[in-house]
Amino acid sequence: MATWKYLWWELPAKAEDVAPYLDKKFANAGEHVWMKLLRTALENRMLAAINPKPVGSVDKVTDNKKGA
Amino acid sequence: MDEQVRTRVQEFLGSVTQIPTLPDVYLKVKKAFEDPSMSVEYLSDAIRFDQALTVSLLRLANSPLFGYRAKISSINQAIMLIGLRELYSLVLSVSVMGLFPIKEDETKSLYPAKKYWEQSIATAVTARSLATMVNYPRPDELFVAGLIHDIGILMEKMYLGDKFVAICEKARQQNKFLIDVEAEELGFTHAEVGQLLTENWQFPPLLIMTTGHHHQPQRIKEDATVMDALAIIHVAEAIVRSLDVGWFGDQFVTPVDLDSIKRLHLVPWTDMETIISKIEKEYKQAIDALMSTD
Repeated sequence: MATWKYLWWELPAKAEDVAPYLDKKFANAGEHVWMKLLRTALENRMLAAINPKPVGSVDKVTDNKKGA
Repeated sequence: MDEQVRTRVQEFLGSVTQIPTLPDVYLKVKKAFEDPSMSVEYLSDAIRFDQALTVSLLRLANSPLFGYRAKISSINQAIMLIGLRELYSLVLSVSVMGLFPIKEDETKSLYPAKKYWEQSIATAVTARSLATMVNYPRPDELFVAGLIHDIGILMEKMYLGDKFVAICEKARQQNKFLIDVEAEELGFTHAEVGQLLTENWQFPPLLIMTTGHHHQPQRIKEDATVMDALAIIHVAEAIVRSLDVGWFGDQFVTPVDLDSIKRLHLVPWTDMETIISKIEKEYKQAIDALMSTD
């Protein structure tokens, strides 16, 4: 992820950095459930980008179920 | 807008020796839009005269973003297929972007124009998506509204010089929204600058309202269409801020006005991730169409 001089906080590079980053980002966003859902969606996306699932992992599980 | 604030913004705009003016072709298209008796030939000739605009318009019209099935290869065809209202929106979008070009040497700036346009384009596609979701009657109108909603920031960046840099620095040091520091330091905000600028350009009233009031839609009492448009731009900006697309002058997600959420019937979306993916896809298409240097 690009880091520009104007950004205040660097985008999280590790999974443990995601929550503190979003805490800062959403510090003034209010408590509405809609904002919380937005935050959760972003958190999931950031974590998935940092730790993508291994290719084929889902298919493998599916195949095992079929075989069982 | 408070009269004292209006005076201060007028003084600022008055100090600008040359306020960017929209090209003649935009004025001709606007005239044609307002006068249904104007011939297609008049309009087509007016646009064709501006080659750069013609190329940009055709690229935009053929983008998957707008989903016209037929290949549009001429302005005449564009007028017939797209219709005057949407063509007017496209001309306005391309014309405004042409006034504030991206400079390559801005990559270390506190507020690079490229990042400004990225956030504006993202707000434009998000607003259009939201408009479609809530059955707003003219989603393309809100594409333009999103594109220009923060145009006041570009004016401040271009004409306040070091003062604008100091405002950005103060916002960063004190962890504040850019708009709050603008109000403290200038006595006006980019929204108010944008409102007067779009008034000067004689833009449609809806675009003046969304540019001037997208941060505080709850303060406005207008008809339902304007209120819906304001709510959509307001929510769209919050979503785009959360996505780290482009740059708004600060890195916070803005609080969303609860009345706007109610007005749009935005019940908590269980498919928020799907919606964000759709916005990202359309954003890439819009960047290709509007910022491509080919």
